[in-house]
Amino acid sequence: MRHSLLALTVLFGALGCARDGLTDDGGTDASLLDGGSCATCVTGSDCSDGTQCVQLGVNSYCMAVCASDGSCASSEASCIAATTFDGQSTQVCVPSTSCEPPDDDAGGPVDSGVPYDAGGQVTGTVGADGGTLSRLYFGVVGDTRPANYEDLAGYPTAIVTKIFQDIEAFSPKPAFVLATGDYQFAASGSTSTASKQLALYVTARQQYSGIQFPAMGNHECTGSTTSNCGTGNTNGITANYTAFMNQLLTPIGKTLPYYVINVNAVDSSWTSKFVFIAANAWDSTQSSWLSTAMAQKTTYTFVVRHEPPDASPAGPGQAPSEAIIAGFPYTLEIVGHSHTYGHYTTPYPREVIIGNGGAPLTSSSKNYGFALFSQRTDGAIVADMIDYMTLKADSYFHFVVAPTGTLTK
Amino acid sequence: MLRVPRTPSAITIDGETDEAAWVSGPARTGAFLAPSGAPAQPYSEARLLWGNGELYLTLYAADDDIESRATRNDGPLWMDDSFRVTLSRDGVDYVIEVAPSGIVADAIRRDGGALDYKWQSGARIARDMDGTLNDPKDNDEEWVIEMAIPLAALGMKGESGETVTFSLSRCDTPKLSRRVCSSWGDGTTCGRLVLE
Repeated sequence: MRHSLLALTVLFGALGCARDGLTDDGGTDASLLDGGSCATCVTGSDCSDGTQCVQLGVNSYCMAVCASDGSCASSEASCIAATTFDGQSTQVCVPSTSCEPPDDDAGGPVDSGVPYDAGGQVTGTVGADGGTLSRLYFGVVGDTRPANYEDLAGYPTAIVTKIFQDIEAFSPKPAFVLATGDYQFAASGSTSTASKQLALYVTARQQYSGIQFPAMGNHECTGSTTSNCGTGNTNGITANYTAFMNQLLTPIGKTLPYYVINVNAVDSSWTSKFVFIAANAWDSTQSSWLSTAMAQKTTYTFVVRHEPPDASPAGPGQAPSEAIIAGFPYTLEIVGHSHTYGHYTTPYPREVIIGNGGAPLTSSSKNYGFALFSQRTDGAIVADMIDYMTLKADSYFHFVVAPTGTLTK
Repeated sequence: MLRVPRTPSAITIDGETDEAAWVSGPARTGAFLAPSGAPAQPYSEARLLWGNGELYLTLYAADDDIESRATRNDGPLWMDDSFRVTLSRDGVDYVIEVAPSGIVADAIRRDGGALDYKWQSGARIARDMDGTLNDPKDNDEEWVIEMAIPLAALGMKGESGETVTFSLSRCDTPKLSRRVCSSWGDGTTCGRLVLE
């Protein structure tokens, strides 16, 4: 994306108001890319076969439609989500070369990432009920919902697809992936697009071939952070909840929105558990289950919940679950909800936020991506955030934690 | 250029944007751009419809720290998180700024002169906010403005085929960072709306 961003920089930086609107024939020196061009258009009839008239910035351009796998025929172009002249969602190839000569202000963002060393190969397998590995090595993706309610056209398919393609292509490939919730922004009633949105998510995540373990977010209930779903709870069984259970949990054999997965060493030298809490399906049964799950002694314990400990407003199970886990040893608490990422040493040194999976980014400097957690030979867990376009790690995020949750080097 | 569809049904200005017209096919700006030309962070976008003599906008702002200090309409919004809508016709600029609090500052400028804040757009505005206003200690998520601007206030008849020059920008002060602005287009007087 960095390349395409530079191209857009040039495109829009050069156009300006003087060339605004209907009479502009911008990009006259356009290089043809994948059969598309930088030529402006008003309607689809202005574009040749294989291209669509899409809105990019203040103008519309004929751009080549991306192949179904999200790739462009030319390596000099990137596939991005776009909107056609008549408001339809599509994906088009945007040039990495300029449509017009660059001007002095055409500089793109400077990449501050560093190369990521994934370490040695991982052997063993993890399935729906856990498994054994030579070392812990897993990815985390969080918050993939669109910005707008019921918005199928605005679902961040291209971003989510790219993220999972990245994870699949990593060497070594992460053994499994956790997701921190909010896969949809849908109505909770009978006309909901929840199922369709989750279908988009499932298709996108299929770019990664390993097993995936999703946590429940507030948008898997009604969307309100305070909502509480499940039989007997305030909001009951919503369309969002049903879609989450049917499309994300049933395929891995889970019948409740909270569950635990054990992944242990092939040579029995360590054990781990991943405890998935559903703070928006909270009841006394889950409370009891959580106490029991946390009591299981393991070398590593990773708690996965959508809402951070300080989310405001709070999820119904946020504070109660926080109180329970505080009574047991754990390594990290992996959360989402905030559409960003971060690890802050105070006041929650064991909390890590991974919410930059495609939902609209809330911070000014952090890009979409995914986290990787890798077990070192000394047993410490190394955490990194990988930019989904550069595949570089954010050195400001990087941290190392002992099995006990103590930060180390 | 954005072709703005006519809504077949009434839009209730309540900040919820749950009408079918908002879902089925509004005009979309897509992600706002930073001055560098890259997609801006934090994320912003807008959707537009028209009908019933009004131009409807949904303004979406992802925001980890929602800040809005102005307490009265036409108050100073230039330090607040805010959107700025500028519509221009026949040498007249109509400027409407709106903060996550719902506070509005609207003004008119004729022939490049000074902004006149006595002008009232008559815009109806509702907001939806996921986060806490003016509390930088927590992590906010987003705010949404749903707005209806009377086309008559812009000197328009409200007829298919009418056009108006249009720009849209958003400024925000993220946590631990400097104030940043992003826009559809270059944030000044660019682009054009066409009422379909």
